[in-house]
Amino acid sequence: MNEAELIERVLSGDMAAARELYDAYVDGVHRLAIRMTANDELAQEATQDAFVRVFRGLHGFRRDAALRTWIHQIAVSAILTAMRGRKRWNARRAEIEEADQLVKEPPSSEPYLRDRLYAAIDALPDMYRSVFVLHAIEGHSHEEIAKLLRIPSGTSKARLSHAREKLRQALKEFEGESASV
Amino acid sequence: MSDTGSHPERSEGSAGTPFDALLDREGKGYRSGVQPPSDPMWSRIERDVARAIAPREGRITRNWPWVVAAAGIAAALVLGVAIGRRSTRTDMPASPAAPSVAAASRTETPVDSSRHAQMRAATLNHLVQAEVFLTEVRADLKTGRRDPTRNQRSRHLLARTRLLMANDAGGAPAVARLLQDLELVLAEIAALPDSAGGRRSTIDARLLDERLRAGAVLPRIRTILPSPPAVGGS
Repeated sequence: MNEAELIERVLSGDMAAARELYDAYVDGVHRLAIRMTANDELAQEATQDAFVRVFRGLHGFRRDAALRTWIHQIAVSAILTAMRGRKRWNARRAEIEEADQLVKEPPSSEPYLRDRLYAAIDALPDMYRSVFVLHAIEGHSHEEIAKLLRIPSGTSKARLSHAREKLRQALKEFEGESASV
Repeated sequence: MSDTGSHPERSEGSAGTPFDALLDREGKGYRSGVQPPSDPMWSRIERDVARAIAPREGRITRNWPWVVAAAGIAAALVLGVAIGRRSTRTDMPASPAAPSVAAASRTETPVDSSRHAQMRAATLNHLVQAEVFLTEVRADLKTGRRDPTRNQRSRHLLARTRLLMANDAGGAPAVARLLQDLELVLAEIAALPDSAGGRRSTIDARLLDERLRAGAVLPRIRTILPSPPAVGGS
């Protein structure tokens, strides 16, 4: 069954088709959510909200866009909402604005660079981690991130730069090993 | 969701140093092996999904406000055409906008023109009601107040929105897009649970508030409303 047929079945009220659509995209949405939030519970909440929005909005889905891209946009929006809902976003923002130079120390028990890197990404403030994930991992341009996060593209570039700098500081002891991980 | 984005070129802002290249390369494995708890998450949203995808035909037969709305629009159109015919004859020479729109309206017959004007008037009237309704809903969400007629009113407005869209009442692309966004917002309001309270309700309220803010529906309505030439200028 192709995508258009699947959508038609969903819109006719077919719950099996709805589950099929959910299964097709839940891995990606949840992975994006957990990467952006670095929090299992929050990621689940955001994933659920994203799919509720997807099914509510499916009647209005314009077929000129790819379903995957449309779901991705909804997922990012739902993830940001979940993050804001926990008041973490604003709290982190205030924290960063007051002490922008402060570098969070990631757990230093992991001996391997990759583990340290992942711990350092976890430790990034939400606003930096979101941009880093969307750009470095998801492959979005700064213009796309600007639209998704509703920030100027210059802010996206600045946040990516900050994120990289913080990761660099957190992993500076490995810097000489960059090419041999 | 690395396979869901548009995957643009990676030139801008991408790895400039070996360390940046390392970040980009190794970052791709960040939390990549996490398995989502698909079944528990699905069970938590299953009811909402079922409600969201319920066939629209069923809703029409269940919800009599659709019928009332259709009758109301039809009556407004009939009345509007009659008024429009009179206003076309009496008002056009005095209209200050007439010279500027004369060229554009040369190909329209008087009947087309009056129908257009009346559709715009009906749209304007609808947007006024929608603005009032959305403002009330937004205030209710903030205060936690529950309007027992909220779902009924939203379905009523939703029906009218769809009828206007089906009749190309938007006219201008901006109005057409506004009606599409309004339709989505009203559909979400109509799908909100009747009973207040609970975590699900809180999430719904939050999502709706975000939808209103993200689509800037209210500001767009307010932008269109005080613009008389856009409504009755043709």
